[in-house]
Amino acid sequence: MNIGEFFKNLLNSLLDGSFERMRIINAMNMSFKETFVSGDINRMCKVSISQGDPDFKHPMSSFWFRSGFKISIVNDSNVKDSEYEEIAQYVLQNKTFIRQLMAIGFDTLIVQGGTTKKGKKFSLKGYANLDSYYLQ
Amino acid sequence: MMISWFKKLFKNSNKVSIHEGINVVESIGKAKSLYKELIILAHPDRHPNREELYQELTNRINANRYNYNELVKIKEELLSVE
Repeated sequence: MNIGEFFKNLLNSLLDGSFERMRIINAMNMSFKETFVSGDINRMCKVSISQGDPDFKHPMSSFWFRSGFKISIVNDSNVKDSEYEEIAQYVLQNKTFIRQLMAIGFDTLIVQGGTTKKGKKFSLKGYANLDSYYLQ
Repeated sequence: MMISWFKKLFKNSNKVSIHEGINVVESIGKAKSLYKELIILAHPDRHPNREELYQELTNRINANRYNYNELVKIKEELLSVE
């Protein structure tokens, strides 16, 4: 971990009041790097905290500017829309992971290109099957 | 006070499971090929004598096509059944 990342992690932890989010994000980034290096994926991805969509808010959401769970594709030339969709499906079809993300304050999944900034947003609560447990 | 705050911070972070996050990444890399392999292996037409069992396995494979850990479990089950 370089000094920049250390301060970024510290800032994120202070804003969240815990290391929970950074621990998951760091583990996923490490795993993405290993998977890319081993040749299992051809798109290098990076996970970070981003702005969420206020329309996707739920009772466990953090502040809107810290409620987005963003997966950026670093080498994003010629990325098709279907690739964004496909990456998102791996998160959205994993109900345990969705609930975990919601419990630590995320409400929006964002999959986008690192340089083009094109991508898609998904509401986590729409995939968690918890509709009847929310206050109307 | 500062020390107790840091202790609390680390204590909470240890409770979080990173297992599912890593599973998502592994799924992006490996689930597609494993799904293709399993869906062929478990096709009910290949096992006319135990069609119901393999139909159920096929349904489970389809339901977990984006979840690598679950597909690995199904593969173990499939190999033990065969």
